[in-house]
Amino acid sequence: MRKFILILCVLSLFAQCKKEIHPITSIPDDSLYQLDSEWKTQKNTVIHLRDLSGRVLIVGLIFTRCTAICPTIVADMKTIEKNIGWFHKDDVGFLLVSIDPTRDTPEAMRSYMKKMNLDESRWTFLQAKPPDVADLASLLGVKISPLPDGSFSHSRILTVLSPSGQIKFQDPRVSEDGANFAEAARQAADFH
Amino acid sequence: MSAARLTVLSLALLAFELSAATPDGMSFVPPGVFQPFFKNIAPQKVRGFYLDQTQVTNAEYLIFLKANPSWEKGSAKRIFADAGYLRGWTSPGSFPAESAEAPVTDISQFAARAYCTWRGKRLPTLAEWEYAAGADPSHPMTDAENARLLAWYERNSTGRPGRVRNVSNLHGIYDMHGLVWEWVDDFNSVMISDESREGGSDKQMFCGGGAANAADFRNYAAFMRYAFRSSLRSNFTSSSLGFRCARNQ
Repeated sequence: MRKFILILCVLSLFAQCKKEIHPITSIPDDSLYQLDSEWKTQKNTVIHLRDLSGRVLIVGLIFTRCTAICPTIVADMKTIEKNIGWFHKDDVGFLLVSIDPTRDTPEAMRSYMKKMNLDESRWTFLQAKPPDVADLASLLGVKISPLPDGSFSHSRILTVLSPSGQIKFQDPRVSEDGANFAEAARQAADFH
Repeated sequence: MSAARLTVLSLALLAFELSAATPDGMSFVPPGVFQPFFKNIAPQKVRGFYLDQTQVTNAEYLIFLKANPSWEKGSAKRIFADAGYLRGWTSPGSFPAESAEAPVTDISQFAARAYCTWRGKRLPTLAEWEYAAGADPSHPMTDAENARLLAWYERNSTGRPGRVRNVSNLHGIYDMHGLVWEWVDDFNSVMISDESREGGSDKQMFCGGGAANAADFRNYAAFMRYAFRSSLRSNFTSSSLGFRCARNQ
C-alpha cells in the first residue's frame, strides 16, 4: 500500500510537471472570455475571465451564506472532479462565481473553499460588481432572484466551458457518479 | 423680502423647473407601488422616472450604428448578439425603407443597453416597465385589457411589426402592448419555479406550479410576459423583441 502511494505521488509530480496551462491568444466571437469585466479571486487578485482560458472549466454559481442549494452544487462539482481524476488537473479546472459579491469578499470565499476542502490549484472562486455578475449569469442561463431576507433564489445549472471560453455543455442535473459532466469535459478538453 | 432676493429665489425655482423638465420624446412616470406578478416577490416601490414614449425605431438605431460601427451587423461579436442580430436588415447600415418608423427588433440586450447608454439613458427595470405598462388610457393600473392583450399574444406574428405611436396610455407612453415585446434590465431576476429551494424544473413554469405563485390569476397576460422573459439570455435576439430606454428623474 505504501509503495502504491509513493508511486502515485511520483506519478502525480510528473503529471504536474509535464504540462502547463497556456492561456489562449485569440478569443472566439462566441466566447465568454470576450467579457471585459474585472473579477476578484479568493486570493484577492484582480483578473479578467480570459485569464482563466487554456483549460476546460466546470462553472457553478453560488454564494457562501447559502445553505439550501449551494452545498449541493459544490458537492456535485466535487463528484465530477472525482470522476475526471487527478491526472487531468491542468486540463480541467473548476470555477465558482459568487452571486452575492457584497458579502462574499475574497476572505469569505477563501475560507469557504477551505471549509469545503477545495484545492486552490484546481478551483477558483470569483466575485465582481453585481451588473457584471448579472451579465455572466444571464449568458449562462442562470437566473438570480433576490429574496427579501437578503439571500437569493437561483438556478442550479452547471456549465462546461471549452479552453477558449465557449459553452459546450449545460445541465441542472449531475449524474450520480458525475459521468455526464466528466464526459462533456473530456470531450471539450479533447483528451480521450 | 427684498426685490433682489425675490429675483434670486425665482431664478433658483426656474432653474429647478428647467432641470426637472421632461426630456424630449419621454414621459414622466410618477412614483408608486408595484405588485410583481409572482407573489413570492414583495411589492416594490417604484421611484418616479422617465420612459421613452415609443420603442427605439430602425431609423434611430441606424444613427447609433453610424456612431458605433462595432455594433454593425457582421461586426458585433456573437457573445454580445447572436446570429439573428438585425436579421431584418438587408445589409450593414440599411433596413427596408418601410421599416424606418417601426421598432428595431432582432436586437440583443447588450445592444439595447449600448444604445441607451449612448443616449445618456438606461434600460428600464422590470418593475419600472411593468408598472408603466399597467396603465391604460385613464387609470394607472388596470387589468381590463387582459383579454385584448391575450388575443395579441395568441396571434401568430408572421410579418414585421408596424410603425410606433399607435395607442398611448395614461402616461402618454405608446404601445407597451400590441407591437413587440421589450427588453428590461433585470429580465433574468425572476425564477418562475423556485428551483433553488425545491429542486423543481422549468416544467413547473407551464403547469400548476408556476401559476400557483401568481399574485393575480386574472392577469394571465403578465404571466406570459414573465414566461417569455425567462426564456431569454442577454445575447438572444427575436423578431418580436425590441426595447425603449429610461432615465432617472
